[in-house]
Amino acid sequence: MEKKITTYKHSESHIDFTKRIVLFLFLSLISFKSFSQANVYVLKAVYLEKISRFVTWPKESHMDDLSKPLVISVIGRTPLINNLEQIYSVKKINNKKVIIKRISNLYEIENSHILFIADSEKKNLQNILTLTKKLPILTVSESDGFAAKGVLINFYEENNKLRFEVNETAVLQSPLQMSFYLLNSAKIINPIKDN
Amino acid sequence: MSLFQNISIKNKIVSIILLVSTITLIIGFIIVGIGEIKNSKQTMLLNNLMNAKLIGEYSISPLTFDDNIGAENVLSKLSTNQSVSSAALYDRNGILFASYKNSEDIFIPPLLKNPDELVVSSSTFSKSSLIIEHPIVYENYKYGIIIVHISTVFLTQNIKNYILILLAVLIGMIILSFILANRLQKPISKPILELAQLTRKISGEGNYKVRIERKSNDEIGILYDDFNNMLQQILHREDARDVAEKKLLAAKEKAEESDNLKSAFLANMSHEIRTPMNAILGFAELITMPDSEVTPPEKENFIKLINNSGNNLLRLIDDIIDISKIEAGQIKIHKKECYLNTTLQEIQQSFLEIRKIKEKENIDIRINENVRTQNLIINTDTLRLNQVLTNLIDNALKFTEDGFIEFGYEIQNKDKLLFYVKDTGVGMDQKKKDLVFDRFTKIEDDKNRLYRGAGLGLAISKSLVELLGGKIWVESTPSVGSTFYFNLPFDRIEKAEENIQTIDISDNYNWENKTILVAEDEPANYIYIEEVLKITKARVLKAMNGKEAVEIFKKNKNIDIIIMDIKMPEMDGYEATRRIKKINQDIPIVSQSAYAMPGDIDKGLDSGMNDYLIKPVKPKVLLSILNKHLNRLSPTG
Repeated sequence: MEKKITTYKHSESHIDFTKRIVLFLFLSLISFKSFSQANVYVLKAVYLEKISRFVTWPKESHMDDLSKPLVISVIGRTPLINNLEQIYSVKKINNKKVIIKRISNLYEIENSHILFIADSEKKNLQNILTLTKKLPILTVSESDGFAAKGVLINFYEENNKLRFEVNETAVLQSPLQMSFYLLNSAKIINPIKDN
Repeated sequence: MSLFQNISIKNKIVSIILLVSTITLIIGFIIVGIGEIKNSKQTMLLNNLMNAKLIGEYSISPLTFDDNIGAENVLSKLSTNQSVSSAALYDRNGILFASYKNSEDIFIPPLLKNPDELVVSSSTFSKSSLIIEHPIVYENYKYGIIIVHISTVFLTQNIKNYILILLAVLIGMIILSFILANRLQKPISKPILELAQLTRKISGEGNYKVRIERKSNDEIGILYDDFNNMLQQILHREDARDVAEKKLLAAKEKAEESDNLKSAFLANMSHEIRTPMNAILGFAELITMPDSEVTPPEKENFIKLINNSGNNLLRLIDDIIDISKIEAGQIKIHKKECYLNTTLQEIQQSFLEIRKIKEKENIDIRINENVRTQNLIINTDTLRLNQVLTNLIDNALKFTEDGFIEFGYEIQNKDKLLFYVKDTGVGMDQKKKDLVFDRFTKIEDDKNRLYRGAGLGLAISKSLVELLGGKIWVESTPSVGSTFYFNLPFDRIEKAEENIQTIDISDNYNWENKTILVAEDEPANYIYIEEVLKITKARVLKAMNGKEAVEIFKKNKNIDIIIMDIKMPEMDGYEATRRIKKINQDIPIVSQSAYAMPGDIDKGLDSGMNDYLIKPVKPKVLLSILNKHLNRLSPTG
């Protein structure tokens, strides 16, 4: 354990150490202090990385192959796209480079690892979900009721804090696996019924 | 150690057991206690470390998603463990993220270390608390740090309780071992105490017959056996000592008694010797007084009295010698054939003489008719038989004034011959009968002493009869008479009745043609013998000593008989006899000596003497003995 940590520490090269410190301080600031609308999107972008830590993609997603990038697709209109592009130009997810794709056609989602569904796609949601249901794609949204409809993770705000809900039944049906640590902090929608 | 020496065995054993068990218990309890303390500390540590790790794991997502409430919720789970005083969750930058405390007073400090320094979980026991610091790491990514403070008050309390329980158990064990030791020491200390008690009892009471019962087969059992053996030995020694003491006491009493007897004896003897002496010396002086007016008949009477007294004195001396010989065990019995008829007739003859002297001619002295018809020859000591009968008849004569004295014998059975002497004297009562055979016992009248004598005759008779193998007793009725009985072994010798030697008691011997050699160094004695022999008309030769006797014998071939004294100058009678017998084996030699001990007679007979005469020699006895030998020689001579 200790060794691994050491390795981890050294793998983080000192080149971008200053950058990282600045970012952390910034993130900490938004975490603990004022909570503005603009910052929510930054937070959401950061949360995507954090959530990814506790999600396991199947083999065909090539998550182990660090040469292949992680694809985040955004469908619909949302200001998040700017924040994503801004943050993931530097930040990696699971040590993989991140590519942000804006998509309008549903068929473009196929190689994505994460699909952010904007509020504007409310009417189109069933179609999207039908498509992604069997695919190893983590669907994320930011609108009330989306999770209940089948989106795996849905952001919401509570007491000025950004929280998220997880549709447990949908997660179980998708090829993705979600860690207990993620579920621990989430609000569970459609919990798995014991039978 | 001296203190230990002074306490009893029981307490020694108990204290040894107690000491050993206490030390063992204490060591055991210390080991167990330390182990238990370490163990509970370790358990506490592991439990709390596990809790910290679990709480840390649960805190990963709240930390990730900035969920303070969630994190506090997780931390609050620690409240189930009351010993947890506080817990703090810091994020990866070391900023306090969430905290838990079980008391308002507790202050949660900010992280004082660089969060990057804490890469492994660590635990520290401080004075009153255990601090666990645990980095929260998931998939190589560090999320934060959890620090838990656990109060060790419970642990200390537990340990204290544990130690108290241990102490209670320890004390209980010591008490138990004390009770057990008290019980178990008994097989060891009890026998020793019993032994000690017994020893004290023995030394107190002096009773060595007590025995201690052996109960075990160990060293104490052996000790008991040895002790019993020792008691046995002491008892033996005591018994032996008692026996020896009794013997000594008896010997002492006997010695005292014999001392008393000797004193009485001396007093008695003095009296008995002086009485006849008085008569002898008195009358002798009366006769020899130059101007005495003693008439010849009176003179004759005086001489008779002197003779009488002299005889009494002689008998007394004989008795004294006999009793002393008997006492010294020096009397020897020479058994040979004894012609009973002859012996009894001789005794009768001699007592007829004595009766005359004692002027008791009214008493009839007779032999039982049985003697005349039987001619028994038995194997016994004639001399001693004669002595016994003489004593008894003498005794009878003494106590009889009128009537008769009868003696004789009859065959009691095939083993015993019964002799008796019966008189018609004063008799005696039962009390006196019991004492009559004791030494120095005399019949004494209350008023005056009627009867003379040293009181030795019957004692001598009793001893002699016993030596001859018989028993003596008396039957008596006062004023009617007494009968003394004694029996002897009927050791009969069958022998043809050859010429029975009847002693010729005639006073007339005619040895005109005989030559008699007399060896005697004492002139008075020689003159006496010469006077006695004068009436026989024999030729008498005189030798002054043994050597001269031998010389004369060599020169005179016609000597018929020799009278030899024993104690002579130059050559004694034994040597002279030996030499003469070498020259002529057949010459009869009769010794005459004042030596009266049995050994002397044996010695004389050994040297070849034919007969033995003891001084004083009475004329009749001398003549009769000489006659016996001269007659035997007559055919050859």
